[in-house]
Amino acid sequence: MRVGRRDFEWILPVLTLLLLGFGMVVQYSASLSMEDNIFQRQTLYVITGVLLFIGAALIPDRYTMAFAYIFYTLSMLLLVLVLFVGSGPTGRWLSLGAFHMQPSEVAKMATVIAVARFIADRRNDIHELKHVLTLGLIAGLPFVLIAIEPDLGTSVVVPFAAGMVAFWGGMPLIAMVLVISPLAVMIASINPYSLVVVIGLLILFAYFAGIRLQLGLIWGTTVGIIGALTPKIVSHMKAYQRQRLTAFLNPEADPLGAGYQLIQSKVAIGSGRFWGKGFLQGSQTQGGFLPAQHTDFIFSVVGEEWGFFGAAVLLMLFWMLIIRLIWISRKASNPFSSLVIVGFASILAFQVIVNVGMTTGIMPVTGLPLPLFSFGGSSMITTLMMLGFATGMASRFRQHG
Amino acid sequence: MNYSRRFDQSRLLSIGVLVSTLFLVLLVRLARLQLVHSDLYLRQSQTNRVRIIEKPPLRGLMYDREGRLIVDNFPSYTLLAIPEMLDHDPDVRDRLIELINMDAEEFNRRLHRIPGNRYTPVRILRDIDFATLASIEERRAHLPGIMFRVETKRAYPHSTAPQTLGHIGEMKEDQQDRFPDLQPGDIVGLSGLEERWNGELMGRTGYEYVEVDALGRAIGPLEGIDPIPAEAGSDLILALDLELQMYAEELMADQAGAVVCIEPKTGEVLAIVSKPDYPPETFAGLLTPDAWKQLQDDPLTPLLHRAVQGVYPPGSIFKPAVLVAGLASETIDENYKVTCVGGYQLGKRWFRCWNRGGHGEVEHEESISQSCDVFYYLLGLRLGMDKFHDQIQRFSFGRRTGIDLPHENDGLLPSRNFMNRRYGEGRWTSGHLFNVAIGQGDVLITPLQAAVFTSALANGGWWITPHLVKRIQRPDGSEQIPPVAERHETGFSPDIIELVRHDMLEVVEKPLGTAHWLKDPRLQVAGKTGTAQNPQGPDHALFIAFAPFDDPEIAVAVVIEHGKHGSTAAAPVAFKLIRKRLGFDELTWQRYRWRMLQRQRQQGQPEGPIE
Repeated sequence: MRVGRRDFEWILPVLTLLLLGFGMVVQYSASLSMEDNIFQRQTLYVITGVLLFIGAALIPDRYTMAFAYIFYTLSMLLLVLVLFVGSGPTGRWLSLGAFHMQPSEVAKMATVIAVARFIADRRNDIHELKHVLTLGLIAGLPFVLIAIEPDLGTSVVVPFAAGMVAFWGGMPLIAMVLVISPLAVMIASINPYSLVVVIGLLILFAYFAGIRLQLGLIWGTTVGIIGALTPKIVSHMKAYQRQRLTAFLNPEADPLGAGYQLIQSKVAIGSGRFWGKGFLQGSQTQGGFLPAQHTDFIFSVVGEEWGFFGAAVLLMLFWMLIIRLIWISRKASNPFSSLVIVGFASILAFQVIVNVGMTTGIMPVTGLPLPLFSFGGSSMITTLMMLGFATGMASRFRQHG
Repeated sequence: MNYSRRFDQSRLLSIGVLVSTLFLVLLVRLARLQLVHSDLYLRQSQTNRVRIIEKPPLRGLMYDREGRLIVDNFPSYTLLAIPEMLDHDPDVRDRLIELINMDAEEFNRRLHRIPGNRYTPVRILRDIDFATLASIEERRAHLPGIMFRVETKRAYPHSTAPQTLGHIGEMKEDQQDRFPDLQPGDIVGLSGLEERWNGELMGRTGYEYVEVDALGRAIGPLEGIDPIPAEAGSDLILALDLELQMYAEELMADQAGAVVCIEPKTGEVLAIVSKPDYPPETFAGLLTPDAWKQLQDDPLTPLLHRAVQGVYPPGSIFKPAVLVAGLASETIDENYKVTCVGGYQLGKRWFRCWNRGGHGEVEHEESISQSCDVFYYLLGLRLGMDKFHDQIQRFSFGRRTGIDLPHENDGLLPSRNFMNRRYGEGRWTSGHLFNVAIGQGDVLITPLQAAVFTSALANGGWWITPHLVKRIQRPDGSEQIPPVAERHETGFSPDIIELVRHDMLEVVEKPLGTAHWLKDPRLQVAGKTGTAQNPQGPDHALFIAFAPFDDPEIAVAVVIEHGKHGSTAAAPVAFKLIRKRLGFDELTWQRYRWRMLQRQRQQGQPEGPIE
């Protein structure tokens, strides 16, 4: 297959490179005061990622589609494996010698591809209950596996992206509520009040949507059992595990950990004002007062050194990238590619919004990295691969169109 | 392009609108932080260094039943250090280690014991002495990252009941499971009431966000963030009668053993003593490792709370329980008689009665008042292991009483299963039954179980879970009754219990009763003496009693290790405590006793106690 110059999707790679460049500049500043060669290692990850970007762009769509389920199964096996032999500070890595990977990052991408293939395969059956439920299982498995690592923050990305793919794929709204409700109940059951509210909303919805009695009963029982069991399972965990699981909802309750990070992050961002303190001039950043400033809290460094201007440019670039992805999905050559592109766009959008929301104090403190900015090989490489796939899919369309 | 017609284009639009809206929200949030409130944050980043200061809560106090203060707080200084600053400045660290004379490894362990903490000051040394404090304060300008905090240590105005009150100390790293909400280094209760009621006593740590200068000194509170105030712990109002408690400790001063006094109707523990003990002040503040080791290795085990953790063979104080078992299982009736000739021949072995001359014809009343062993050998034989265990376990034996103290011992009430496990099936004989029927052999009880058993007899067949905490008084003044007191029924017929109660009265009232020499004409005391053999040395002396007979207000159990005779060593202690609690003075009794001795001497009767 030959890609002509006019057919090449060049906007995505250009936006990606701009973000990568900005990311490397910020990473240099963030990791300047640190040991362990953070910047050199990140450079290595970027180079690997760019090579894989090109590789992914060259893989024909039909191969991606053919390998979708194998890829998905492998990533699920890795997720199970990490539960038993997980290493690293939080037990979320798989290690092989000096090489580490975070299976949850790969699982996000694999799940989106699998969901897209499922919907593309049975385009006409998306209204049927058993297919809706199968879809729920495909997306639910990685969610549960990542949630019990425990990494509740990352786990929510998967059902969100899968939901967006299904939404674009034409799944009826009723079916979507049906699949998402157990998840909603599971999360809401942490707090009895929110559980009551969520269940009330679901009953109202079922009533107005006119769900058949038989289905309604099965559905209600399932949701009820999940709602009743989750607190039991949670209460069986040791108290400090439970605390770690719910701490992200309420950072104030953890003043030494998340609460402290949040205060330092807000001071860093707020003190940047409009133009920022300048490259390598951030006192919070260079003084080492920002915990996790090279990983989850790297946006605080952007805010401090590049100010409102830099932060707005960053948001603008990400927004353009995501909107561009959504735009080209309309013109992909086949349903599968179109669905995959929307899924990748959703993953990126979710991570950027939650991460920036977290560092500015309007979202819970979770362990979600900022794509293309945060230090970390797995995240960098999978992000670039997703963008590579999307670029390839968009380019091939033009040739045929 | 053909396929995508089948997709609903408006759905893509709504995804785009959703994403764009959320990005706009982020932009507005950024503008608020960086453009509207930027002055505040800029100042905070310039003066720099935001820190979290822990505000330790005031630990709750303990009072006796009359409101007399038993456990108090006293100010002391604690040395703290900021891990981040000391790690980056090894010179400061080495200088400090030298000043406080601490092992470098120990210092590092303490500095880093809260995982992930780099910026919050952590406890290095509690209750620092004044000379060290002064020498560090002098060099303060050269020791950045180090600070002091006024905290409290415990004070004991009456220096009483050390093992019961328990001690506090720093939580160890491996105790995370026991205190899930706390962090290593937090001050927690580690034994006794301090441990059992730690959740109530401790209160909640507060946090204050402050701005500090380059030396780590606080400049002022951080604007825009509310501090979380510390919440003081709750006070405990104990059931203990301080005067009775201190009197009991005085009476036991040079002994090893335990005393428990319970108010039978309520289950409230009026006094609980374990000797030998240690001065409670030992654990008030900082305990040196040497002092701790010395206490732990002491062969007299002063740290052991003998009243709840120590186990003893009950000896003859077990007889009332065996008699109840015999009557309740209808193995014998109240006319059952045996003839005691000073012992009993079982196969090749002669099981002797403590009275080698023999008691002659013995009914249930004499079996208790004169403590005839032969009566119980035969009763035990008739009962058999199963009835013995099933009836007696209806009292508080063989399992924890549920008192609000940690690490209570179950004691041991042998059953058929136990005997089979211990000796092998068919390998244990009637001889073993003889032994357990007189409270020897494998039977083991705690002094507390003896006192609870006595309360059950005093009450006529029921008891309340013994407990030390009467009320919990919260800092806001509200009170709570702890849910520990529960009524337990033995289910024995009131007639049987009444019969045994009367027999126990005769122990003191009848001239041949084993505790008759202690009879006080002013009040009726029912009791039972016990002398328990043990392989380690002289016999243990035991005594249980309740009084006044008609409406008991106190039940007492006394155990004196190697006291030789229950009647002479343990019983006088119990009588003195009963008189103290019921308000009868000691002097009047001593005059009476002296007159009795005079009379006996004139009549040529044997003087002194008999066993």
